[in-house]
Parts: sequence; structure tokens; C-alpha cells
Amino acid sequence: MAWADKKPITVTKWQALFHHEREVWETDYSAVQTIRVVADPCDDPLLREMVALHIEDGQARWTSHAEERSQRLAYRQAAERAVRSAPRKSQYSSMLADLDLDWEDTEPTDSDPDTVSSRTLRMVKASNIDLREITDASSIQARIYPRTFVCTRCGHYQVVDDTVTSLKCPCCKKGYLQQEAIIHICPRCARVEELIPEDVPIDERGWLICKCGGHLHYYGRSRVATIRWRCKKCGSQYPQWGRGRAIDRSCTKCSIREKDESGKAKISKMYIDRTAGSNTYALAFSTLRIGDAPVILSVLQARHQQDKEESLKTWHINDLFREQLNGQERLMFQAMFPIREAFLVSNVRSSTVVYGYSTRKGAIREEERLPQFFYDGGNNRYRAYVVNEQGRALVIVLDKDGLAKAVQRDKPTAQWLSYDQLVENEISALNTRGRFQQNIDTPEDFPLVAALHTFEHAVFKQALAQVGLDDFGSKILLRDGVIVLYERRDIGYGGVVQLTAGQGFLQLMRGAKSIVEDCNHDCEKGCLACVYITDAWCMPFLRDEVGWYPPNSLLMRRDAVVALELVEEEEDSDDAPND
Amino acid sequence: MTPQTIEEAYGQVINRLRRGEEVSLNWLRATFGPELVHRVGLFMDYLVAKGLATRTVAGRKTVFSSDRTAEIVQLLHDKEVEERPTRLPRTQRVATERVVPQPISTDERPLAVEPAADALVVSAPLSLAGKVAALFEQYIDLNIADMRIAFRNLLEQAEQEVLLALPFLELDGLMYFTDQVMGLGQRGVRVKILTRELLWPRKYNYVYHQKLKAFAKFVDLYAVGGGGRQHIEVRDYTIRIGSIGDEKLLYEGIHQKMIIVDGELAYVGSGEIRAASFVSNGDVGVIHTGIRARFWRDYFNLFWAEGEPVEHRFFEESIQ
Repeated sequence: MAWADKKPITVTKWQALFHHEREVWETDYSAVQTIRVVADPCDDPLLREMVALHIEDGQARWTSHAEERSQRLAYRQAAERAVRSAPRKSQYSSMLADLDLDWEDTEPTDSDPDTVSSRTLRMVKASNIDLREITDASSIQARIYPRTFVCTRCGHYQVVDDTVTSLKCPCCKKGYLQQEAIIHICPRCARVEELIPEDVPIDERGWLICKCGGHLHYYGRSRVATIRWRCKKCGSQYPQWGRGRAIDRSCTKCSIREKDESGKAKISKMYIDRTAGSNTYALAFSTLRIGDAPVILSVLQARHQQDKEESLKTWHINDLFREQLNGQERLMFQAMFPIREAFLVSNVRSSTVVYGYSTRKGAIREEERLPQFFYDGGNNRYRAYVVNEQGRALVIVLDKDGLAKAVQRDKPTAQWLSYDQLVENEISALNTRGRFQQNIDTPEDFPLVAALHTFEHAVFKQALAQVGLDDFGSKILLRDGVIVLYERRDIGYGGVVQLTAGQGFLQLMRGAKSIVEDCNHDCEKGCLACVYITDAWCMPFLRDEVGWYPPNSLLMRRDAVVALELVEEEEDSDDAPND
Repeated sequence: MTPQTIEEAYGQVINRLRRGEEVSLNWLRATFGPELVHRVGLFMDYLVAKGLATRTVAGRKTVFSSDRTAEIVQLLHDKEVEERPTRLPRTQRVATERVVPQPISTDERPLAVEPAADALVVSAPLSLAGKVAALFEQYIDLNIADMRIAFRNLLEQAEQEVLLALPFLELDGLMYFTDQVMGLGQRGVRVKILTRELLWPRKYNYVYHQKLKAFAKFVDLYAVGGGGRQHIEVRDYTIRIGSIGDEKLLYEGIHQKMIIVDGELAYVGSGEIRAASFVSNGDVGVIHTGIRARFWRDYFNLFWAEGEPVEHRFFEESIQ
């Protein structure tokens, strides 16, 4: 069998969703890059509209970045006393070529200099979204990536394509070519490049050709810093010694080499790493609906009532109180957990949508990262993929007044605010785009939202540990003060039903509280040891409440501890009535 | 030996703590099994939150320890006293199980901090106790409380202020709540009592003097509990018609019976603090929360603003 033969790889639909287009990831055979997912169209107006909104947000960041680059170029030219006051298209066309943006193609005129700001960015409409639903019948198209192979015996280095039928080394004829699974990835725009020295021509065989006509071999594989190529014939080294890490390079697409007025350039030094799915992450969001209605507390309550009327398997927190706990324990539970109510609902439709990707590599501020979308320029459409599922959900209605008191007891405000006022203030600040980075850096400015988010993560983690399945998702309805733990797959009675059976809910709450309170690292905001969850499952907010924030941001463990403190003294439950 | 009841489990844990031994999660799991381990865990967490025990987490190991076992035993004892069955007729025992102002009720309505809106408060004559109990069984999902129990719980829950509209307060009814009134004084809760025909009764007869005595006793109980007399106020809303010397008629007055606690819980109904409302009459009412409670508070205050203050000196002089 030739090495390039097609090999089927079995993945679940969730893996297909999150192995997004252009992701470089590892299979049992080699590192590959997803080209696209073969899936059927999905006509869901609401989702398409939401995708359009998300993409528009991302486009705005690309626009401001491109404008900044244009302006800096203008500054430089002005400083050099250039005749032109604005840059020409050719000077930044390489950047625009890879933006995946949909520009109005208006010809520049003398009176309309070809600046980025003069171009009109088209509104992304729902009709521009090519939404595809991934099912069990869907498949991934992938290619071997990176194509860089090295002979394990002689170090011959070659870019391999489909024309190569054998991995036997064409140079020494004895060794075999092995994939060198190292890539460059831009920390700003998540663009990926193969490990090939710059300015070295590649011939039709895929060999790297030296100035002398010889070809290059690969050395120094033990450490990235010492990676070099050397000509077998003349001994020339690539890259040249004495330039820092020899293989470092800047992103040619999003770096701004021109300095601003304070003398700072915005270089994107590309990050070097082994191929792994974690190099990039999918930009995703999820929605919950019952029928066609997006979930809010009243919709959930109505569904719970309907479940009872239809005699479906359901549960309410009072079942726990009636059947499992005595009156004394009920008082303890009430004092320990700020919960007004909890119940199960069925027929919750969850839709998880991936519409682009980004990266977390490199030390760069989140606000400077630029999203990538799956743009089909020929049809002016943005592809997005969705997995739709239906299952049950556990609804935990929190005590809004208690939370407001706890938050303000710890961080007093100028005047007493109700939960609704507090949460509106925080939502408003979180949706202020100019504060994006500041919000990420200082989650302590949002004690209520951060505490809820932290507790939501804790509930999610405990649910996974308690049931032993990872088929859950979770969401916060901020305005309603509700945490929804939903099933991402119809798992019958093995999901939230099992979580609430017997004393399951008590175990869930105790476990979640313990996760929040007992961090082994005693961290302040949250860490891997306590409330961090897999990035892909951190989509906590409703789109109409809080816009996109990076996964596992806006966490504040210490605020959650305060919110979960015993409330008995304040509520005077020592004098609580008999049962 | 695996305990059979939660009380036995508590006993085992306390004995272990008393001996100075640590209680680890592993020991809890091994000793109590799946039926009790989380309930005992809840108890241990509660003790930690109350400051009566400490929890130490090291890696995967969690242990509890305490040197305050006497207080833990006392805590359990206090709770037991509250739960001790009362000598009530069946009607009231049933009602006690669904008592209104408990923060999380057995009813499927959100009750974590506030009791459910529209909780029902009833009182039935003893002769109808059996039938009323049967009626309760038909509406098991409703919050129905016995009037006396509901009043007691309302007074016990007050933290800042109690507003009472008691047009016909009687001493025999007040005697059911002596501890609660003293408790109000002890906690420094402000009390406002709105009544009628206290300053200017229609007749200076036995009934009037009994009423006067009841108010005086209310104030005294409050003071005995430790409350300052300046924190309990009585006002009389009575407007009469008729010239001096005639047998005057009541032109305007209060007839509403209300108990409003901290502006959050409001009882309104036909029954008030009279023995007849608890054992003789059929009386009904509801307990409202939230905005309805605040409405009743504001409604009360309309009358309160117009009422004539009854100074404490009035009671003292009446007694003399």
C-alpha cells in the first residue's frame, strides 16, 4: 500500500465539529490538516443570524487592525517625506489577501485613495452563512500536513506531495522519510506555516535547493533553537547563524512592522510547536431551545410543568427534600447553597456551532488576536458547522437576593443594588468592546458574573465526575439567575436523571462547592486544579446577554467562595420554623 | 457497624471527633455507605461553615476535625427541640408539616429565601378538625398553614420591623405568643401596632378593659424581653361621628387584620391575635411576599400616618 492511500479515520460528530477547517491535528498515522467537513446544509434562520453576528464582531477586529497598519504606513511615509500621503494597495495587499474578508471591490480613484478605511466592509447577513449540520453520516476531508519529511538516516529534507509514491529516502536510498510534525503558528491570526527556511527555493521534487545547486539536509532536531538546514554539497547553512533563534519568523499577513508614534511596532513572531489540535481552538457558541423558543426561566418552568402533565420522568428539588432529607437537613441544605429551586426539563434542543478559529499560543493580549473564518470567496459565503442534539436539562435557579447580598457584603457598592441592577451593570460593562482586554484581565470587576461562571464550571465538572460521561454542557442565564446543565446527547436516564436520582443532587452540590472552595493551588481566579474546563465546552453566556469571551476567562474563584458562604445568620434560620 | 439512621450516624461522627480522631472522607464512605454518606457529608460541611469543625484538604485527602463537640451536640439538640411534635389537634399537625414561612418548602414552588406567594392560612373549629384535615389531603401541593403556627413563625422571623393591624387584640390570644413577643424585644425588632377604639372607646366596659390590658401586656412583654419601650408604638385609628354627650358612632376605623414582617412577608385575613381565631372560629387569610407584601406595608402606613399615637403613659395611668 502506498503511503498516500486514503485511510479512513473514525471520529465522532463532536470531533468532526471541533476539528475545524484548517486545524492541524494528529491521527494514528500522521499529522493532518482538516480541509473541510462534508455535511448537509441546515436551514436554521436563528443560528445563521447568530453566526452572522459573531462573524461581524470578528470582522470589526480585522478592520481595525488593517486600518492601524494602513495608518502606520502613512506615518512612516510622511516621516520619510514621501509624496503620497496614503499607502497604495500594493503595499498591504499581501495582508488583505488572506483576511477572509468580504470587501466591496471598488476601484480606487485619485480622490479616493486606496486606504483600507475607504473600503466598505459588507455587512454579514444570515443569507451569507452556509450552515451545515454535522451528523453521524458526516465525514472530514483532511490532508497530510505539514508536508515536511526528513530521512531518519541521512537528514534529507523534503516537501512531500501526492506525487510521491514511496517514503524511501531518494537521497541515501537506505533510510525512510518521516514526517517532521513541527509548524509555525501566528499567535495573532492563527495562520499556520510549515517548517521550511525562508527564501529557499523548492524544486518540483519537493527538495530544498541551495544557491550552489545542491539540496539541504536537516540538523539539530533535538531542540527547536538549534534547528538548521545545511547544504550537502557546499556546506552552507540555512538560516544564517547569529540571528537569534535561527528559524524564528514573523507572520507575513498580520505583522505591522511600521512603528507607531511611540516607536512600537506590532510584530507577530510566529510560535513554533509540534502539531496538535490544541494549537488552535474553535470559535464556537451554543444555544438552547425548547421547541423554537430560546430558553429563559419561564420557558423552562413551563416545560417542567408539561413534563409532569405528560407523565414524563422528571424531578424537582422538593423530591429530594421530601424523600431523602429530614427537616433539619433541609435547613442545612438551604443555608449551605443559594438555591431557590431546581428541576428537570426534557426536550431541550442544544445547537453547538463552530464558525471560525483562533489560537492561544504566544504571549499576546486577547484583544489583539484576530479570528479566522471559513470563507468561500467564490460564493461570498461563510461556512459554519452545527451539531444539533436533544436531551434533558437540570435547571438550577439561584437565590438572586442572596447572591446580591453576598456580593455586596464582600464588595460594598456606593448604594445598595438589587441583583437585577448588579447584573445589568456588569453585562453592560462586559459588552463594552473597548474594555474587552481589561475585562479579561480583571474579572474581579464582575464579582457577580464571575462568581456565577465559576460555580457553573464547578457544577459542570462535578457532573462529569459523578456520572462518568462527558455529554454535558452548561449555560448561565444571567438575568434569570439560572444555571442550566444540559445533555449534549440523548442519554436516556444516564445523564441529568441519574444526577438527581436519590441523593444525587445533594452530591452534585456538595461536590461543586468543594471544587470551588478546596483548590489545591489556592488560586485566586481559577486554575486547572479547580474550575478550568475544556475550552470547547466553555460557552457560558447567552448571545443576547454577553458577547464572546475567550474560554475559561471571567472566572473568579474567590468571589464564588463568598457567594457560597453560609447564609444562615443573615437569614436567621436559627429561628426557622418547624417542618 | 453501619448505622441505620442519620441520628446514629451523627452519633458515630461526634464520638469520633470527641475522641480527638479525624474524620476523613474515606472513613465516611466506608462507614456509612451510599445511603448516608452524603447526608453525613452535608452535616460535616455545615459544621465547617458554622465554624464548629475544620476541613483540611491535602491532595485527594479531605479530613474533618473538631474540638467543639459539645457545641455540636447542643446544635443538634436545639434542632431536635424545634422538631419535637406538639400537642395539636390533627388539623394543626397537618398544617405544621406545611408551615408557610419556611424558606424551602415541600411544595414545588420557589421558596429558598421567600416563602411562596399566596400561602394559605386557616383556622378551623375543633369540631371540624377531621374534615379540614381530609381537605388538606386533597390539596397536598398547596401551602396551607395553621393560623397560630403561621403567626408564631411570622413573629419569629422578624428581624427589623413588625407591623400589626389588630383592631380587636385580646389577652387570651396574646398568651399564645408570649415567647415570640419577648423575642421581638430581645432582638430589638421595632413594633408598630395599629388598632382602634383604644383611646376613645364606645363603652368603658369589661371588654374595653380587657383590650387595654392586652395592649399593656404586649408592651410589657416586649420590654421584659429586653426591648426598649421607645421601639414599640401603638396608634389608634378611630374617627367618630356624633356630638359630645350623644352615643357616638364609629365613622371610620380599621377592620383589617395584618401582620407584616420586615416588609417581606404580609399576612392579611380575617383572623387576628384572639383565642377565638385559633380554636373557635373559622378564620382564613393569606401570606403574601415580595411586591404584594410591600404593598400591604404601604397600605398599613397610610393608616399609620393618620393614626393617633397612644403613649405608654396611657397604659400606666389606666392600670393605676
